[in-house]
Amino acid sequence: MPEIRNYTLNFGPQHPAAHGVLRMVLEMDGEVIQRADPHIGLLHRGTEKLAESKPYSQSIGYMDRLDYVSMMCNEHGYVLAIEKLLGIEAPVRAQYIRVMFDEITRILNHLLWLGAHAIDIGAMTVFLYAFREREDLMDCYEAVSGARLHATYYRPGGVHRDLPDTMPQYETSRWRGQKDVDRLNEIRQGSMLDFLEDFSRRFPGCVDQYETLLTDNRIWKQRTVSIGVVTPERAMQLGFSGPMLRGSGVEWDLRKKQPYEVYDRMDFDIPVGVTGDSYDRYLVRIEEMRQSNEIIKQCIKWLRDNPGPVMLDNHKVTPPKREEMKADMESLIHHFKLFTEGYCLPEGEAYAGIEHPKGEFGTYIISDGANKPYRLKIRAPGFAHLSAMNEMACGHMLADVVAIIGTQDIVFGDVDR
Amino acid sequence: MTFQQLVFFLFAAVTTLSALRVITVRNPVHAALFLVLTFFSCAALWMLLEAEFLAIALVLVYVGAVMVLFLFVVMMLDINIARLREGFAGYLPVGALVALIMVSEMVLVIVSGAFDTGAPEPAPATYSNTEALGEVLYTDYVYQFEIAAVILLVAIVAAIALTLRRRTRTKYQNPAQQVSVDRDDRVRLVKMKPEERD
Amino acid sequence: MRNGWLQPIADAVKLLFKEIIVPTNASRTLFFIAPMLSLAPALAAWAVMPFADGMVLADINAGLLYILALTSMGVYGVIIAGWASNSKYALLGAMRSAAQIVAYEIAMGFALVGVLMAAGSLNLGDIVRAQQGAWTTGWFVWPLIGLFLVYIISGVAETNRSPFDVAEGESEIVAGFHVEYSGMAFAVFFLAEYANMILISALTALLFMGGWLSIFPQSWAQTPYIGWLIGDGIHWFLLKTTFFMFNFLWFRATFPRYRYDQIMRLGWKVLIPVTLVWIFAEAAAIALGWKPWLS
Repeated sequence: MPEIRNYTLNFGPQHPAAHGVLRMVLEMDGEVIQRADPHIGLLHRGTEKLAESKPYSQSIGYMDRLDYVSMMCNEHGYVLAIEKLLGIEAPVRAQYIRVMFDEITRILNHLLWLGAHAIDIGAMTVFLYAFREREDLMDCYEAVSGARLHATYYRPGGVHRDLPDTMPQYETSRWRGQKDVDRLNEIRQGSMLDFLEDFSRRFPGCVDQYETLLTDNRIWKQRTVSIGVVTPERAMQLGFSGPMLRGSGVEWDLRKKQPYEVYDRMDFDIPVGVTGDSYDRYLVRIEEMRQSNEIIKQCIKWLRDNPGPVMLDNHKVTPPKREEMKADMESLIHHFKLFTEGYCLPEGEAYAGIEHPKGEFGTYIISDGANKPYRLKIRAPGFAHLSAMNEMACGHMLADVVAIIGTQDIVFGDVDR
Repeated sequence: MTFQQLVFFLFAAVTTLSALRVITVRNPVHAALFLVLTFFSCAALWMLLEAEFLAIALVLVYVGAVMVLFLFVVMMLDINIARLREGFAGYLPVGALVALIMVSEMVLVIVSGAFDTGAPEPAPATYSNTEALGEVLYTDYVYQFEIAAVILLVAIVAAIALTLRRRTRTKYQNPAQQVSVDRDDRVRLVKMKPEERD
Repeated sequence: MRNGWLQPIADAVKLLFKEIIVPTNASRTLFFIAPMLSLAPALAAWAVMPFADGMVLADINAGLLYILALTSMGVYGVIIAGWASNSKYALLGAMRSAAQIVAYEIAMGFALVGVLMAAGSLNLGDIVRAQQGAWTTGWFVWPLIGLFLVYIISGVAETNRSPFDVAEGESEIVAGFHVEYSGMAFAVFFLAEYANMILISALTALLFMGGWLSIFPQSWAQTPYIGWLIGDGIHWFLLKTTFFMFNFLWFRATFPRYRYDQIMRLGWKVLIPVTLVWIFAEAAAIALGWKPWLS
């Protein structure tokens, strides 16, 4: 008799549902998972080590590339830690801008998650819908920083520059005639805030649209309800954070529990799940998008009424204005010093955790008083979630593994760092 | 030689050759596939005899279902051919005996003249094979037919009962409960006061 | 060209010129036979399809059985491809496909039994002619609505289309049985899938929606000028087929994918019992002479 043995399947790293470069060794009894062994490190770029050899401000760009679908939130964590150690605080307007862009980023991340999760489970159209809205938000990134993905917009002491009065426009091409371009540019005529306001008015309807395709769909429910259940106790023991933790029913959100920036002035609710399965986490993230939209609306309102500086006037940390540099010797020296040597942080250590779309994104800096960190440690939420893969997937079927990867919202940029 | 004869010899040759290959190829999957080919060309031969219902039933049942499951099993079991051939010499005398009996039986039947009925009359164009078969099955042979059906049913129940087991490590979901889940029961919006900063 | 109208042609030309890579330790002969085995039955089934009254290649008595037999052959292409590729993903796809097709073959067969009981014939032309009646009242879709739904669902499952595309399972087992195929060999699988889709759509139109029969009463066909448009004809058949084709694409765009065991559950525990009960009720109705539609 041939002996009965498990079927070992090498899942990834080149797999459509691997969300980048996840490699997982699956041991299956038929199609039922007996052991799931995630292997990481295929996207390791040594961000933490690289930051040790550069002035603080030059590492902001690396942060964008950690979790490459929620760029500005990564920057935020890093910038906040530097500010904490320096003992400075950004101007209020900059704080509002940061909160607004954090929420834009949350929507960006959740839209990509929704599309990817749905296409993993087989629903194609949601993906296309999600990217339609992502395009608009990417335009906001472009308007404010010039880059659509890796913005490097947050700086210690504020944000790079104030919100622009114009939006980037579409141009005619071989594939797009004048009529199409005019239609696309219609909402892009005013300032960025006008555009965003228009978006925030449209967006709840878009979320309803995604929900009509999924929430009450029998197949969607059969694929998500009681799949990958995590109890609240276990979720805390496993170090879950963000929607993964809230999906299990734990009321925890850093924006409320440890408010940073101006989150304590915002009026928003925290969606919390009940049973901790994939369906709950899906609903939590959907609700989070709606709440983020509300926060964006509040930020827009405040930002319209309250002009002001977006950078500290402390030129030991923030670069001086360009005009001043042309006439003023001191500004020129500040500029030169900032962009060659940078600034030194006082000796000590600081941890700043923010509510990243995926969970708690923490940046821990140890400074020995030099112009670069002695050690930078990044706490990536995805890492803790991925390590629960075996527990969540065991006993489920191969197709559920894909749903679980989706529900964990894994992005390899921040798992591998 | 008429066209029909040509077709007959073609399919007869394919049947014989592929039947031979079933027992000579080493790979069990190839053997199963040759068996499929044998069935298929048999069906073609039956079709020549105007037994189109039987021919199509052969393809439908044996080729379309039985052999699929057979292949399913053969592919799943990674059969070690070398080990299967170990006891070959030991089984040889018994095998030869069985073969001898079968061959002599067939020779006896063929020489007895039972098949010397001459070519059958071609059926009229309106004659339906299916209808005739159905009439015979549900009148003259209805008891045998029903008994065969019951035996098959018992076999199905027995096969399921033998293989059904609840695996302890597998997580089961109840589809009825899954589908009845309501959105509003599963997510609640918590109003929370922001905590004081330190 | 604008809006990408030529894209499908460009894709086909690209696939024609691409290299076909045979994996190491693959069973070479079977590897190449598999795509042909999946396409051939789908095309051969068209021999008995009546496009309009009398417009049929082979008007055989057991037409419906012939089609059933041929569609059940299609699974061999999938199984052989999965095994011959020497890949774990492909083998998983083949296994899933084998189990799925055997299960849905039964549901589909039973749905067809209902039709042939109602029509009293296995000949596709006769089945369509049995559906004549004022407006659409003769169509089998009304008395056999349950079997019609079962047939459509199992038709989608038979062709491995979303939401039952676990044999392909893009996001689970990459591309399932054809993961190792490239170039024209891959394209033949795709052609087979679409040929099967068209076949199932055409069959649904023939068996349940009156094939070439018009939705208007017979007498209207005498209307001058537009009579041919109103009366029976191949255009009705094509229209109905197109409608079901559209459904296939619509399902794919809308639904998430079932899990493998859920498909089996649906097939064995829902569809087959439904067909059994329906056939029993229909047989009783015929035996009692209660034939509001089935006269």
